[in-house]
Amino acid sequence: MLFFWTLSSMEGQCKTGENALIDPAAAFETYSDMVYRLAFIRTGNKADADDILSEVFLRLVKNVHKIKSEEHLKPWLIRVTLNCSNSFLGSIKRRRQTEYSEADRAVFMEENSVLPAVLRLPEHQKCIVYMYYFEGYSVEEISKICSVPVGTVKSRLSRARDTLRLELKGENLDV
Amino acid sequence: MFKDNFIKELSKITPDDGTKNYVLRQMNEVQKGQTKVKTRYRFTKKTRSFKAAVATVLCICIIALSTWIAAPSVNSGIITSSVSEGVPANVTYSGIYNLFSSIYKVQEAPKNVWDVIEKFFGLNFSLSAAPFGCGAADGSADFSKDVTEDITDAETSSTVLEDTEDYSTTNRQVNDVDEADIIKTDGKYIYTLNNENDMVYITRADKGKLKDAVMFSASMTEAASINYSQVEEMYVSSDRLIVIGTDSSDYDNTVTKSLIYDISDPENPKFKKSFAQSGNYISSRLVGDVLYMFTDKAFYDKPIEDDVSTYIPMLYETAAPDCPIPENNIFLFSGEIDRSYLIVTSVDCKEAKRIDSKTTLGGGDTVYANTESVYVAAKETSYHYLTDSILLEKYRDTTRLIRFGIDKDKLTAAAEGAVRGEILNQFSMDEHNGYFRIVTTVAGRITEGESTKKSFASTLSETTNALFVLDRDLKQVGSIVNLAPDERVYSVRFIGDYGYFVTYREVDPLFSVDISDPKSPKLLSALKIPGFSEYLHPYDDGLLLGIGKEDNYVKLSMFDISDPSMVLEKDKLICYSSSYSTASNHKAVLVNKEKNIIGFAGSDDYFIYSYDKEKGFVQRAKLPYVIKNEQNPDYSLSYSDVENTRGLYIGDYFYLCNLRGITSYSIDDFELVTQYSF
Repeated sequence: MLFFWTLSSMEGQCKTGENALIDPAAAFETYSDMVYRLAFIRTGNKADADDILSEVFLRLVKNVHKIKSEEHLKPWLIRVTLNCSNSFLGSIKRRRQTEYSEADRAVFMEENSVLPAVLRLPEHQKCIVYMYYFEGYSVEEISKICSVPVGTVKSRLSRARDTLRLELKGENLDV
Repeated sequence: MFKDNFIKELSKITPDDGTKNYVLRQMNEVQKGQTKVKTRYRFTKKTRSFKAAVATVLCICIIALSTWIAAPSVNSGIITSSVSEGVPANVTYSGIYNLFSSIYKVQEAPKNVWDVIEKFFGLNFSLSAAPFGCGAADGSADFSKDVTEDITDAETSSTVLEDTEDYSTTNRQVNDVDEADIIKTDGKYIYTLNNENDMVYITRADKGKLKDAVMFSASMTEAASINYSQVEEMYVSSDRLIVIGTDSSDYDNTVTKSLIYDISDPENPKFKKSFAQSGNYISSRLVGDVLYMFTDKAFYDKPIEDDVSTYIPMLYETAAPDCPIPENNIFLFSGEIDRSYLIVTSVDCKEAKRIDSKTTLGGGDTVYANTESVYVAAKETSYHYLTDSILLEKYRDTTRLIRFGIDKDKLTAAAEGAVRGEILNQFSMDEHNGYFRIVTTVAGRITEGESTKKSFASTLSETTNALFVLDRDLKQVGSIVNLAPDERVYSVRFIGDYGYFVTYREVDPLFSVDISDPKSPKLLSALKIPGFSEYLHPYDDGLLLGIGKEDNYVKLSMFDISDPSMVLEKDKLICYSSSYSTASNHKAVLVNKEKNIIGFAGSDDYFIYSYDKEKGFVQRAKLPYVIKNEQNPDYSLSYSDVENTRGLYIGDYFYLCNLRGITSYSIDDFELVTQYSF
């Protein structure tokens, strides 16, 4: 109940101004799962994903005027999520935690699951695997969103596939 | 099948409703401009219970800080650099901890820095034989030969205005240390940096009359596709305009840039040079002509041996090769270390020449600077595990500090230390007569002789607040701990030998504490007042201005601090504007005693008050952010209008500036003079 109340009260308060085409509350409803999943893929744990989710959408509220159209919103959110999650990476404490969360993963994942293998991929490759397989972006689109040359996206994707094929078994070999 | 399974498994990962609800509330508050939400550290039990507290209340603790504090009395709060304490046994880098602790000497780079970096980043190579860097103070190119580029056609012959009148500056913490902002004036022109379209607008302001001089783009990147650069802030100093921004067009490698323009003729600015460094922008300061930039750069991918930029922060400048920070400028924190660097550089803006650069592993997030020292604080995150595998929550309870000595010619990494607790903002720190003072909120109580190891049960149940006094080597010399249990610091200001801070919760005592004898701090008085102050500003001798909230309205308080043992709220005024937290950005506040102006942004209007010892606060004007006219027939006020509005004065005229334009008023009666839209 509280959840819905907050949503509606936000719409009431929302001062969108002349230039803002995006309603942050609506954007949250549509894209919070995406941002959260990407943050999870990046950091490998839910606690950091919580923080990143919050930071990304606060940035959206502040920068909502910069987003020129609905089509720009999703790439913008992906980029900001990648940027925000950078500061959560590389921490020695995170390392420690990631090891623990191996056990965590076992709790909510079945045997033969593919997610742990994806999470073990190098940072660059993980994001591309996510955008390619989960979001269904083409290599060209990923290249635009990440400002990375098409060739680099292709080679990262192909390296990720090679790694996954080595790690995965059975039906999942079909990467 | 991989794809299907991947989608199926990942679809189960969603934020829970509690998290969603919390984020939405934060968004809502930011949108209304009520709260400055601190980044991270949000999802702890503790924070949530604070948010849940309905009644917010204030207490002010006044602490007389004596400068002759000599006898170290309470040592309990300081963190010693004992290294592997509290670290679970199976930490991957356990070997490195010892290495760090044994080699760490902040005064000089350890000889085997490369061994450390090799092991730290899991590299297997040796660079020690091949030092790199750009050479000492190289790049001292002759300024006259630098690349200069006309931005505008020099069509205007600039009219020489008479001598500059008295004008306001950005509200800063330390008088001689300038802080960057989006709107600046030099007394003749008003400079506006639009962070929505990366444009700089220069407008001539002459006795209330406004005339556009020039506008140009200060974009941080040339990348054409989706623009991921962001201008942040700028400085105007003598005849230099410095625009600071970040360029993340390569998302793996965000760089922070400063673009230096020659504005000796403000109507014909010339681009001189740009300097950049790896990392996200933390803050900057300008002391005289020297710009200090602070960034934070995390490395998270496995480094490539041949590519030094994959593990060492880089420096960039116009018409010079990219170079990594020289190895003798890399320092290491003792204790637990993140794989992120704090990067500090200094640039002489007059000569457009890089002076020095230093970096330290361990990151940073808050900067205090005076003309001699810079202190950078870094919040440390700790993870609290219920069992080996279940993360209960994470919290921050250590503030790591590093001091840099600053000088016109060089930066010196001078000292490192740490204190218990978490700081609020830059005002939580101050240096006076060689002593550094810092106010923190601590999880739990600090008991005498306590080590850094804490009982989690006690740390999570309550908070206390503490003040630490450290010497310039960042060794603790005195402290007051366990103040205001279960409350949290809400604003801090140090004025000379005294410190003032506001905490809040449900009850509202106003504490006054005397620690002129550091061995036995005494509680002097306790007074209850409703509301709380979020920003404190020294107004006059014996007077301290507080801007804060009461019942969700803006509240102005004037505290009489002439007798620290009897602090009084001398005057107060509730401004019936739904409150916009001016405190979240001190640069948006205008306070000047001579002009008798207290200006701040309300939620719908900009307010101007004056203060009189007899009459108290008097409202002088309530100015609209945007005036309705042909250009703005039906505007609707946006968050950006409120957040990006600054008031300033030049001579006898007051200017209300935001990203839409400038409106000028006579400062005596606030009669509208003219309005100018960009």
